[in-house]
Amino acid sequence: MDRVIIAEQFSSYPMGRTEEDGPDNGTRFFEEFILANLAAKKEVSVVFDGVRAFGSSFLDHAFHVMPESAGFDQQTFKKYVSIEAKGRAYQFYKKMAEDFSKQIRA
Amino acid sequence: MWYRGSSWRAKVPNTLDIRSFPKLMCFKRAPQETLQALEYVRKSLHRNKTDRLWFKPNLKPQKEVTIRGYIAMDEVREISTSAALVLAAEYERKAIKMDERAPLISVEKWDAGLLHKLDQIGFFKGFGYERPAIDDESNYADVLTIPFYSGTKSEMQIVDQQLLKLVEHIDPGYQIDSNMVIALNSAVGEAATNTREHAYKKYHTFRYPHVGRWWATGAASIRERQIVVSLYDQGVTIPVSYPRLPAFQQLMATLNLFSSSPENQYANDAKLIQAATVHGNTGRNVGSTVANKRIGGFGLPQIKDAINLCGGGSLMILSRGGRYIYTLDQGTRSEQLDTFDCSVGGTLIEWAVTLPEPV
Repeated sequence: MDRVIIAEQFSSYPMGRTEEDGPDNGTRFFEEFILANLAAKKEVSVVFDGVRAFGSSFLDHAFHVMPESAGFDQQTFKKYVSIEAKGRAYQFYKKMAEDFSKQIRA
Repeated sequence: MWYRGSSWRAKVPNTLDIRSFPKLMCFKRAPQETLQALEYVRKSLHRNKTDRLWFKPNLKPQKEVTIRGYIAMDEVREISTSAALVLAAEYERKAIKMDERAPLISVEKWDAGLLHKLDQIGFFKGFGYERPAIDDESNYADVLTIPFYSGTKSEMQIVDQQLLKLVEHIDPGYQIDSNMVIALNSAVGEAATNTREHAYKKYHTFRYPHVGRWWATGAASIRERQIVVSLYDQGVTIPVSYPRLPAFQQLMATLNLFSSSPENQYANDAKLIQAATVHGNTGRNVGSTVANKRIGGFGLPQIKDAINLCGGGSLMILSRGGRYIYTLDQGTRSEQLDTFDCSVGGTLIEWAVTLPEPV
């Protein structure tokens, strides 16, 4: 299984949906760290701990809008993408991301 | 009068045109008076419609300048961080639109407390005014106020750095709980995203021209171990934008709104703010079938959740004429809704949290 530590490999401040919102957006994160694994049916674990701020639009885009647009269904996404979060606040954002991913249409 | 980089003598033919500000300017403790005073600032600054100069270009320094009226801040003894932020934002909006800075009148009569707050928030430096002498500055060492900053995107690194500066002011060796950091940073980022995505909509006719920005600041008190973070925009406001969401019609039946009339046009504002903090953007959840349609932030539930994640504190949202205050104190949650007959000219969000004593 691959492991992506957002704070180290992507950004401490993941925010926004697209490039228009800033460089550390949900579209870029999905394309660089999740898409290849989903396409290859290879598991990836995304580590939330260490991030200094999360935007709900980033989480919505990376964990719902982009996978749905790329043609993946909810079951496939859930099977190959998991989230690690230890801290209380990180668990809160993990739940938010998981709730977003439940909106991916089957 | 401070104008064009120097001091001028000014006369006001009619003293009735001098408007005195209240002793206390604070949206929590004196909301009505503070909203009225800041609305007067807005009106006065936009009275000049030329968008170029405040006075003739060839003013003679030895002659008195005649002015129609001005805002006397001589009686103000205290201004809260959020009220100072809104004041600074009004001046910056006008400064962006005009070729020169607005004059400041009778600054020499202003109270040291007011001068200190405006100095710390960057009002004098930011607008090219001479920093006035402030008596007994050491009296104000308890509170540190961050110079205001403005932007159009989230700019989270700056928000994060400023938060750490505030914590350091309270207790230099303090290790702030990471839950508190991520909660506050994320909430401010969410509010900035809301501004970007919802505040400056083309469908709305703005009473005063906007500059498409948000403004933020923060303050920390050592004595109270309290941090206050504020973010303000001059946009369409929540009571205007929230009812435009697709799902609002379904939601409306549950809100028990007052029937609106021209006399009480802001009557539902506090209720609408409260609804937005509970339901957020339910538009897509309820009705949308378009996967990649940009629906914007409206992360007001997340903005409120910051207080819960911090373990306590308060959130105040003022939008148009409504004020919503959410408090979590020792596990007890409470809400307060108020409506005023004067608008804040946009949306102001203020988070106040207390740092726990070190173990």
